[in-house]
Amino acid sequence: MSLTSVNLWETVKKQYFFKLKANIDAFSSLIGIQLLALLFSFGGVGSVGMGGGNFSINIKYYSADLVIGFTLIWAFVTAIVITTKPYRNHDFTFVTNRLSSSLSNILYLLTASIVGSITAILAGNLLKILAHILLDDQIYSFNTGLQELVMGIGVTILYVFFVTSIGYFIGTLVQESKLFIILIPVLFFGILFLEASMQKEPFLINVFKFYGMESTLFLFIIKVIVTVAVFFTAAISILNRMEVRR
Amino acid sequence: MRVIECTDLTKTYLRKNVLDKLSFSIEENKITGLIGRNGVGKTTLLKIIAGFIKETSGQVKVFSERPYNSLNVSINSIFVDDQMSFPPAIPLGEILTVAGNFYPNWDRELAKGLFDYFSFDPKSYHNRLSKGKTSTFNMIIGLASRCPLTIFDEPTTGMDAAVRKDFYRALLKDYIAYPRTIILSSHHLDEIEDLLEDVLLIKDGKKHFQMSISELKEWAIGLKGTTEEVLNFSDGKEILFKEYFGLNTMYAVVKNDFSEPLLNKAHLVGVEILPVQSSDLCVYLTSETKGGIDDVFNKR
Amino acid sequence: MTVLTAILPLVILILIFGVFIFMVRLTRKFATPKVTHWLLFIYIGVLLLGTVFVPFIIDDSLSQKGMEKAIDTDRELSGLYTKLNEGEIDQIDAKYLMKESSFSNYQNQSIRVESSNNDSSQIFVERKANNDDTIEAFIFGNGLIIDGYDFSRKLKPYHLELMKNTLTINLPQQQDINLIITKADFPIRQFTGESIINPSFSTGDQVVYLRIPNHLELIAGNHVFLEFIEK
Repeated sequence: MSLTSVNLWETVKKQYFFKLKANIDAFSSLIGIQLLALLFSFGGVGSVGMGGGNFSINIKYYSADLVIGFTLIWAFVTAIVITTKPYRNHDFTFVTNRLSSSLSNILYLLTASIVGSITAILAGNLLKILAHILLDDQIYSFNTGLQELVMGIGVTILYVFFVTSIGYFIGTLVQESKLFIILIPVLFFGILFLEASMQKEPFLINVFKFYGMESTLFLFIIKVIVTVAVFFTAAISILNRMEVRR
Repeated sequence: MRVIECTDLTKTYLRKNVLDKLSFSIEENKITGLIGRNGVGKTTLLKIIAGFIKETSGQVKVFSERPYNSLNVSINSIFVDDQMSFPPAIPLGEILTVAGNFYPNWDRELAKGLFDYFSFDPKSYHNRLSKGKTSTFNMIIGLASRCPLTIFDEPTTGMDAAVRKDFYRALLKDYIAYPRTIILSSHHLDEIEDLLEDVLLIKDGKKHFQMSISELKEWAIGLKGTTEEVLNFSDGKEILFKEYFGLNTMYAVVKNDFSEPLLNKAHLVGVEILPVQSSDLCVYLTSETKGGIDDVFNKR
Repeated sequence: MTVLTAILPLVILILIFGVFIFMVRLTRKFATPKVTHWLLFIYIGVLLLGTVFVPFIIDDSLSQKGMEKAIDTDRELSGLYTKLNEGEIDQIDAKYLMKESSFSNYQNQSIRVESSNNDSSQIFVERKANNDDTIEAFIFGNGLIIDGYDFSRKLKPYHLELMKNTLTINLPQQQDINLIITKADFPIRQFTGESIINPSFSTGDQVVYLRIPNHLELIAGNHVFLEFIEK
């Protein structure tokens, strides 16, 4: 029987479509989680009260913030889940090597990020409609420009993809050794407590400032892409050494 | 052409050598039976060949490539066992399509034919199948993918006798139509010996021997007669297996390197010369004690 | 106590995580690909439909409620006061005018101005050149500006009442204003510099501006401060 030779991208493409089909149920949980977030957002994601003269004002702010937040957690969990054994084993039933398996995973996570971000941002609109119908109140909006919508979706995709890369990396560590299940939270919270007791500024704040307070779009994109690349590369190099179906 | 070549292949788990300097090679388009007791490293060896796990030391070449992380090995080989895992979200019917996308030689007709013959429901899911059905389904994938190297690791787990017979028949027919290299590891050597061309016997992570099935059938003989005479004849030879019947009758299995006159002489003094079933022989060869399970009871 | 406050968010975080993993597991059980396809289809359909309808509910508010962005609040306000002081109310932007009323056929020689506001109310008075027995009253307000947007219309204007020879300025009753404002999502706010926590907020008193017949005598009541416009 003659041998077939194959190139990497051909395999990655096939695996990507296979994964879209195999992991489609993740999108069911996405919808569930976004609907849950909408429910929680219903009282407004923020509110401010003010008084002046003989009137008092109560402002309720509505935005998709919570939906995006929940989507981030969903993305994190999804990324961890696909690093687990059963999911890696599915790949090895068919044609794969460890690199193509990871690359197709990353493509799948990117797709999940795009779908999650677009639905999250659009869910903000659904929230406005629901608030309008159910609260029977006038809704004021500051910005609905198309340009902002596009930018919002783009930045959200970066955020979600960023989180998936962290999830994928942490999931990979856990697959390498179950010790990390304990080690990572202990390290994370340990440092937080330590810094709190030393009256130091927690590193989380610095991390948040580094990404979340970056107000130049270009710099933000660079920061996120570099970080994502680092996490995924680290995960791939760990996974490349990992045996399957032992 | 050599499809698989192993030199000093060693695999260590927790400082225990599961495979210990194993060297062998497998020729193209042969059906080889991989025989050995439980836990001698058959599955480990097959998983190294499939590229699932890494060798600790030594060399393994499949299609002249190291199988670990090789796409070419992956696309040209398939590893079938009862642990084969499929996404729970994809129904069985679609799994056939997915497998067809991955494997270039996939035979849709054959897959569909076997699928229907074993009355699978295309809408059912792999994780809802019974043990025997799981093995049957995996076997279908293994056969229809027509990989130049097809590895079946205990493929008949849980199958009932009828399905096992069907499977062996299907395997043989498809092999004749599309010859390929097949490795079959099974406990039931008696069932598969008609299929096999070669046998690779592994003991304690080492190659015990590798020979063709016809050689194996004549490799040993059984001597049955009075204890005295049997011991006399087998003097200086390694007794692979012995069993006592009554007070003074003994059965012993020894390597068949007797000359013709010697055999005639044995016949004259009343020692029966019996052929040894190759499956029995494999059991004798791989067992730790010479008396088999009887020893455990005799000592008490 | 501090330990408790530190641990509590963590507990909540872990709880939320648990719920998430549970949901993921759950959906993997019941959601066959077909169900998921339908869910996605319906969900995205609803989202798109919602997106199409949003401009309708938002645009309405813009045109009907006259919400415009006040770019430089402070400068505009000082402009408003200058114009009031100079009596050039025709040049004042119509958006500051909250109410206009006139009392015609006022025959008395004098009028007393009272206010229900216990803090002193500032009242601008302009004498007309002629005697037409008509008192015109304008109420201007720089009312309510939140995040640079003018919500003055939400405020009720002072109510003027003429009884015999007394003009009373009645303050509206205590008002509770509830606003629902949609904000850009945080990935957008990060780059536009908007904040959801500290809205800028400014409010000012309403100003009453009276145009009275030339000869009418004005008597100020308690807490009323009259400022006559010199033209």
